[in-house]
Amino acid sequence: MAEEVSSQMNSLSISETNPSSSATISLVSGDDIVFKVEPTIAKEMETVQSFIDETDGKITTIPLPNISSHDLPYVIEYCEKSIAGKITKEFEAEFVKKLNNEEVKELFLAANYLNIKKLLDFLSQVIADRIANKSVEYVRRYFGIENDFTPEEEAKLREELAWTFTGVDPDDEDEN
Amino acid sequence: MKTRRRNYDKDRMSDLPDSVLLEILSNLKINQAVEMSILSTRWKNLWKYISVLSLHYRSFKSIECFINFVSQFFSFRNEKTSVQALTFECRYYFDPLLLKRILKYLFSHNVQHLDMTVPCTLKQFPLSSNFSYHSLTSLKLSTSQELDTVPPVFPNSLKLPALTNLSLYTFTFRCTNEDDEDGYADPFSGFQSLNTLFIESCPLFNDKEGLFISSLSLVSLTILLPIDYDFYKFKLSTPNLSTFHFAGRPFQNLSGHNNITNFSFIKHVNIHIPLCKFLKYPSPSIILFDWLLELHLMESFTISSNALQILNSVPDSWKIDFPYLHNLKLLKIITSEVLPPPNGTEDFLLRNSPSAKKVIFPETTLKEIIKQELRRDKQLLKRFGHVFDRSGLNLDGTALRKRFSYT
Repeated sequence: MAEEVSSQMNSLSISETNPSSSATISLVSGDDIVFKVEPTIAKEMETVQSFIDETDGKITTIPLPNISSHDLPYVIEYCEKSIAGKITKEFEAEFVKKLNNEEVKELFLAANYLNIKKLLDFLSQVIADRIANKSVEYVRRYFGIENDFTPEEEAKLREELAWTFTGVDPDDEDEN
Repeated sequence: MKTRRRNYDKDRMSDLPDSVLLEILSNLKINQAVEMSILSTRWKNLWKYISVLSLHYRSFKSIECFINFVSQFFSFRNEKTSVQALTFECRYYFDPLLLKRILKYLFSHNVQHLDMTVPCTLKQFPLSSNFSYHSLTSLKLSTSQELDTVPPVFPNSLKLPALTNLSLYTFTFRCTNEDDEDGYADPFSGFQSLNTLFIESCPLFNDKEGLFISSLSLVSLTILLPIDYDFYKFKLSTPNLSTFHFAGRPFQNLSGHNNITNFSFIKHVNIHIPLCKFLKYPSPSIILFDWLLELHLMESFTISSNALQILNSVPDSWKIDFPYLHNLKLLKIITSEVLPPPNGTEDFLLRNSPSAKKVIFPETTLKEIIKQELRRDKQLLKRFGHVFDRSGLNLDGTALRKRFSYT
């Protein structure tokens, strides 16, 4: 669990330690917090595992500059449940209940970065649920997408796709 | 709290690979997935590559909107992107020619999983025995049930060599030779890979015809008959069948092809007989007893208390030569408050397998149990689960045909 993980300030330099099967792996978040995890957890994260494999297990401290110390514990929690075979619909519902939209997005990006297929599949459904029936403008704001169409291009595309804009009226309200 | 979002202004979502973004789009209603074109140039053409499709009428304001959408959608899709799975539902009148065109599109795009609900007014499901539909591995076909309508005919002699799972709800079976009134419909013999067959409420064209289920590969067979089917002849040529679920009234002895009966591979049996009166017909107890004789090598047996009651009325003198169920390891009895299981019958079933485990289920339909078991068995990828659960779609055929331009 996130609370149990020792977090201490650490320099970003990769420290070499003696490879040992029981050695814990140190994951260093983008804001330089160290999370010590069991090697089995690292196995769930393909990106981390392949890094360890490439160095023959000599390197056990892995910098994860794209993932913040706020989000990493959620990823670890999900991986722990996954190893224990306890990913149930109930767990997923509880897991996602405590996440706001921004956190869902960050975790999705983290899951992609770490290459955790299960978490990625799950969160893509969560994101889809959160943007369901929302307007294009809402989704742009949520994803942080810059509209690179000129007004003329966008108008033309909307016209071309008129057949899809005849559905249910989108909901443009931002949630709090 | 300190600032934890770096790159906050940078659009990291759009930097994700296509496959990851498509995962999100696939989970949206199909029309909204297309709307996402407007987000930015990065997103403009992504929807054209979605391969798991669910055409859902209720996502649209009206049937007209939906028809308009469907016609454009297929013509604008990326021509080289196959259709992995499609869920489609239409409960009202639908032009069979149009359905044919949709199917033509799907099969030319290597559809693997197909779940379609078509209106009951359709005469025959428009697949042709002249073609071999190589790509399809699972097919679920349903019709909207209507009173006093003969459900569409499920064609004979179809060639679906890769099909492993077939579920049919409310389709009619009809023998190929129409002059042969006592003939058997033989719809499944062209499915060389068929593993699981599920048939629910599928009538025969007339009372004299029967259903011939012929498959070397078939492992699991489920036949669910409505309570009002008094006559339902079927014979099996399924040497590798190991699981047999049946709900309905047993009308005839279990028989194999050319009277060769070999059900020794059948390990798991579920039998549910609904509560109803059988006055005019031969007693189901004789037939049910005969079934047990054929299935006496089974290892697990689930039986409803009504079926036990029926079995209980078998004269004791018959039981003397009964080979008993030597291999039985598990006996499940589904009890009912209306009709508790009769005393003594379980002991009769378990006489030669005293170590078998006996489980008593509270009242639930056998159908539910069967469905749970089938769900567990299903080898379909997890991602198709939600696709197959979606339903509810209507089409006005004529308008769609006019606008359909992808054929």
